[in-house]
Amino acid sequence: MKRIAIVGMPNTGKSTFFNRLTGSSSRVGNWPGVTVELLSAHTILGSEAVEVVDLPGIYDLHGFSDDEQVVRSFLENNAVDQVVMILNAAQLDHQLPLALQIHKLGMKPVLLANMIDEAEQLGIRINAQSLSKSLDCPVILMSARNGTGLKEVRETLIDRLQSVHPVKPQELKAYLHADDELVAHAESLVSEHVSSPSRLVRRMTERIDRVLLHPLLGLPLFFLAMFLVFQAVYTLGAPLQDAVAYLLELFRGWALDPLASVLPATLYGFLVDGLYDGIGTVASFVPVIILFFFLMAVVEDSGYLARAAYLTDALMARLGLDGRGFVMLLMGFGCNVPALMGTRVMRSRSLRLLSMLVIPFSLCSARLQVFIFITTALFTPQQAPVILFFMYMASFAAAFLTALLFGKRLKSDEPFVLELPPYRMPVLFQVLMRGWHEISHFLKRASTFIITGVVLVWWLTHYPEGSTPGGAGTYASMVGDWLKPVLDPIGISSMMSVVLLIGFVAKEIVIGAIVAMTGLQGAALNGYLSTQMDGIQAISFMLFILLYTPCLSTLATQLSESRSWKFTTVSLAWSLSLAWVVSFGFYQGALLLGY
Amino acid sequence: MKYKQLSFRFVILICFILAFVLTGPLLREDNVSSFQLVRDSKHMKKVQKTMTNLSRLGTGETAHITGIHAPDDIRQRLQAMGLRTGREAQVIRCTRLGPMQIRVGSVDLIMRRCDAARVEIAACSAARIDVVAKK
Repeated sequence: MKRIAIVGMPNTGKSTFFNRLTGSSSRVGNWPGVTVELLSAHTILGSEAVEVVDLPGIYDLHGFSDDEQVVRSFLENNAVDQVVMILNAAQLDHQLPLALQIHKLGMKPVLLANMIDEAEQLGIRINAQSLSKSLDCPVILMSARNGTGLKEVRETLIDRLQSVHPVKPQELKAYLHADDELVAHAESLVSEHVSSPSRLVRRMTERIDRVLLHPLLGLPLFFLAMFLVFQAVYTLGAPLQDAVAYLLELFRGWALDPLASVLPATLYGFLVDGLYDGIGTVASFVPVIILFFFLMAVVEDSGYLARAAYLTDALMARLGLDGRGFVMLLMGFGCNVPALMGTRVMRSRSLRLLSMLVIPFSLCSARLQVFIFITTALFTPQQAPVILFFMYMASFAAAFLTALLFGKRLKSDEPFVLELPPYRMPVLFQVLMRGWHEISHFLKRASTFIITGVVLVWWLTHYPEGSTPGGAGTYASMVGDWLKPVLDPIGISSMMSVVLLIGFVAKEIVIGAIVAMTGLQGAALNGYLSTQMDGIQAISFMLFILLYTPCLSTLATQLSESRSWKFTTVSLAWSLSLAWVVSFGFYQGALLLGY
Repeated sequence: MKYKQLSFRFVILICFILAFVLTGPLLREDNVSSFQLVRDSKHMKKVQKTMTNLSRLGTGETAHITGIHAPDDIRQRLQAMGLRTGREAQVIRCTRLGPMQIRVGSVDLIMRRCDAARVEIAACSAARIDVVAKK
């Protein structure tokens, strides 16, 4: 099969083009370096099947960041039939040197000047034909957002794939020396073939930035925006969640119960009360998670994340991190795993390690799900969002404290220079794709982790035979008793400690575990929870859930990204002890104050 | 029960205050550049202090880049982002504490003051024309 590799600088719309060309979904973010894993997809071009690989966005082929090394080693080790380079048509002066680097390697790239609509609005005119002649490779003007020029791209690629032979660049370094020469060449090319106004004016972006990057208003507006996102997730998500729960209940009453009633009582209990209700309760959170990712995708694609880095860098610099670390922390609110991978854009190892130490404290969607469940059960609708917001604050505080404590050991000299992209309207198609991508990831985890976890908890809380389900004498209560000396001082009952133990694998299991343990649902379950813990205990429980390691996958990612057992162990030990100390402090403090 | 919920809000309030007390000291202004430029040689730091550099420009001011004084890998990084000798750089936005927003060609960058201090500049073209005219 022939292979096409897509290269380009960050923020040029590589992923959007990749999605357009292959029709598959990949994450797109208006943020340098979001696509860190190599995405590939198969598509038909003309009469043959072609593999398309989306490489990470890079500024320089012989740079020193991990991403740049990924691209280089990919090109060194894989035969590529055709390199496609995406350029931002509005920034050709900035981007042509990379194109020339690739050209110099003998790879004969097809150059796609993307975002031509944006460039035209700015008054930039590109003479594609003459530029293509000077460069001796095709130059096509296109817009991956609205599809302009895509037909021509396909035709050119079909044409090229038939005539071009694969290149295997062996000695890359040797070619990559005359850097300044390339820049001069690029500049002469731009002045010859591109006409642009003497000063670019992005009126909209500048007008918006005047407010959003205001020295005093900027940060409060940022926090307000984040608060609104979480508020929206809560207020819009709750009715959806009820609807799904209602449908699942309906299905159980109409179809499942009559069918399953022929089964023996134990098997019925296991299948319906354990498995179906456990998974069903987890499934009812799917709308909330979809909603969260839709909103995050909108924020990400609009270009606001880079502004968030600008606004928070002053604070992060004092912690030994930088604005990018903050953005990764925000990404971690979706899922810690991609955020950990996103730190690859950082070149300095100590900065990377520090960021990776901090990211597991960001409140991911799996933990959000647990918190929504508990706050809904135990607090009034007015209190619930406030407590949720408090959890986010606690998450930030834990991250900052960690950075402050470990920052002295992990000093870095990484320059903080980031591109600030103009604001862009998020594309609906991309946002939907992104939501789908995340939810399928969630369901994939659900199908293995959650089912196993739910079954395990059900077994632990219903056996040995003859014991009261979820009560004394079960294996669960034995484990709980064993953990009592540690978890009693932080107000966590022995039954809940089993849940915590299971939650170590993944937080998605926690709710399913509670359901399987009690065999209750809906209002009855809420009632049961309020007998298990009061408000203070619930918050102590949530603080513990927030801080003790997010899940096994996060730990595995930390290990694979840092390639250090020592680092992973330190991270785990630190988060466990921090969780206990914070919960202890909160619970005992509240008791002392007389609540 | 009602009373308990009401007093509960005070707990939340206390926690908020704690969170802010914790983050408060972080906002204090101190010398960021001391840990940022750990690998720059003494000579380099001296040059950075004496030369006219990008960090000294105010909002809206423009200048030509004449050189970058940093270890090789960092210089390469800055160059790849568009900060190359001969280009014109304009400061779009800068605050006392946070990073600066710089426009080079068609690209907007955000960078810390201590990184901007590595970029040597000369007076902008308009001023230079004036000097030439006077001669």
